[in-house]
Amino acid sequence: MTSHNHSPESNATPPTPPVSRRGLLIGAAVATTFAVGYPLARRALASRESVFIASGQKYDGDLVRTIRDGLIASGLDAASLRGKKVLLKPNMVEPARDRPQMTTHPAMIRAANEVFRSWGATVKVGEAPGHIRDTEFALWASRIGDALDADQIPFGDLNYEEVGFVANRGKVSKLPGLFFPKSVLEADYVVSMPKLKTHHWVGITCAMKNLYGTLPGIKYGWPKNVLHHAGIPQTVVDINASLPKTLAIVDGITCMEGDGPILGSPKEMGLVVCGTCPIAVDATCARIMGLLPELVPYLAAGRRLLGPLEEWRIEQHGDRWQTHHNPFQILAEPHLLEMQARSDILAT
Amino acid sequence: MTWTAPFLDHLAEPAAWAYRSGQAPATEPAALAALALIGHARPDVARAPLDWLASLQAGDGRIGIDALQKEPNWPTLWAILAWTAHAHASSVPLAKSAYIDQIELALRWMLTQKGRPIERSRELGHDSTLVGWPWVASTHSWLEPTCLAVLALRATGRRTDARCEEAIRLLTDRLLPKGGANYGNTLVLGQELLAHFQPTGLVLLALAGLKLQDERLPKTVAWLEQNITADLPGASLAYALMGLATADKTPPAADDWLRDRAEQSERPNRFLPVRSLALLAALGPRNPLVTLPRALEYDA
Repeated sequence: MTSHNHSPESNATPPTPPVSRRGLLIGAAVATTFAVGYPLARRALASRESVFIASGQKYDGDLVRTIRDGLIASGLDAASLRGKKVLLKPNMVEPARDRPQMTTHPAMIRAANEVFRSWGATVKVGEAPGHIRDTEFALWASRIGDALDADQIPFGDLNYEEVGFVANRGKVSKLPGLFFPKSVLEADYVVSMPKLKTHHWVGITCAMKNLYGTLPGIKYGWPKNVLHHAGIPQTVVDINASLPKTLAIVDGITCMEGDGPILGSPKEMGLVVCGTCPIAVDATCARIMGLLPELVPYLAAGRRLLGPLEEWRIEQHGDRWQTHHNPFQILAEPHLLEMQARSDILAT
Repeated sequence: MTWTAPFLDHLAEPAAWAYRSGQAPATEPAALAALALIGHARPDVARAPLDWLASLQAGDGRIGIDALQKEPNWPTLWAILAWTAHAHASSVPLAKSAYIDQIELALRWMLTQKGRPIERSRELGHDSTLVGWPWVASTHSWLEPTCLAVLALRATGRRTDARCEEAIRLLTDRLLPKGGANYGNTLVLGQELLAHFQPTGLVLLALAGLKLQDERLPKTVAWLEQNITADLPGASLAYALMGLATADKTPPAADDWLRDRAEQSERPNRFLPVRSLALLAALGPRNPLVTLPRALEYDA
């Protein structure tokens, strides 16, 4: 959203007065410097984070093993999950049966459920589709509903649950706080399970932006226009900062390129990317897609608060991203073209 | 249509006014329950949800999403429709209806609300300067709240008000070139977006009977006809059928589909408003959401 406040997952939302991209990045950096919560900022500035990449993955393959290995390699202490409540948050923004590249594949959700249950956690799936009021339609069209029924995984309709108010821990936007649904408030871990996609306004939508779907439409509308008017990069950061602990498991097997996040074309990558730090996961995925993370507005806005973007501060496990660097097609729009970068620049 | 009675019997209970079993009652499901009861000739039973909605109305006329969440206030538009439907069903002039005070107060509040216009840009296909109604105060106008506002204005005899005229233009403008509607965008960066059943059905309800000359309207009916399937989930199915009913295009098997979805809604953790929506859709052209906007216009 750079210069416009468009809907994150779609398509459009009315812009507020234009702000230049550079100005926005600078503004966000200044805001975070002065307003970050100290513990979060300390983590962001001091730490190295780990990201795991698995290649050659298929939806009918051993995704349970991949996800288990990936989360452990990323530093997750499996024993700490015992007795914890885990909310899996797939992407079901605007599902369509003939566009499976738009939404998280059900096999990913089934596998993640099995992993967390094997570690003694209680698992639930939740989503607040941003463009669809009929959540049961979203479950049906994405075929995720069938998977939940088959494995008897409970589902939380985050658009319509009772809500609670949480103070804005990010304070990058002007919102004093955020309304989260009950399933989110009760969770010990929220696991972002996005589909790896291009986004025609902000370049990439991945683990961080997928968490827009933790906020209820009943409070924010369809689309969640309150957030757009408060600034999409800023509110993406605020949401990520205000949630319980977050993990990321990215469906990068069949991805979307071109006019994402809704109308783009499928792109086969065969990847699963995991991590305990969503911003580091997203930065790595951006590099794989051929985008410079520092120029993705919400990544730039979150770097001082949520974790590192720099490659040298992201410890790679499994495959290296360079092996899978495979630029995604993007629309020939100036705001997107300037996010593209050569791989030698990406590695600096 | 023998399946409806047990579902109607439940709609007077506050437990039926929740989005999901075990949740607290909410205002939109309560209004839908009232509309379904009224449509099925039970206006007296509908007094329970209607009175509950009245009890939640703030001094300035608005209603929140439930008893605790006083904002946002888009359900106010549903309440106006439900209260107005009760008046029509009771065969009393609107001015003498049991809820006229609530209706007038709510309308007054509704007319203070305006979607935030946006300067037009090449990136967006719709006319972002047109003003309708937002989901939440101080945000852009979107399709569904604007549909509800048009229905409310038409149902209360305000079809020719300037706000209603502009809202009708907005709704027409938000129809997709190939037919159908989504939450309220048409083209973005030159690409036509996807249509969805609920907004498509709702926009046909809002524009029904206006005799608008726009080729996207028959295309919108055609989109529903071509895309509706027997296994659509309940809310989408019901809205699709309501839209088709405005064009007298109800599929022969519609009643079976609706009965099935109403029965499915009894499974654990299902979306409870499906019952009211299925009951409304089952009325076909006698659905209050179809008849209500036209009643006063034809009287006038």
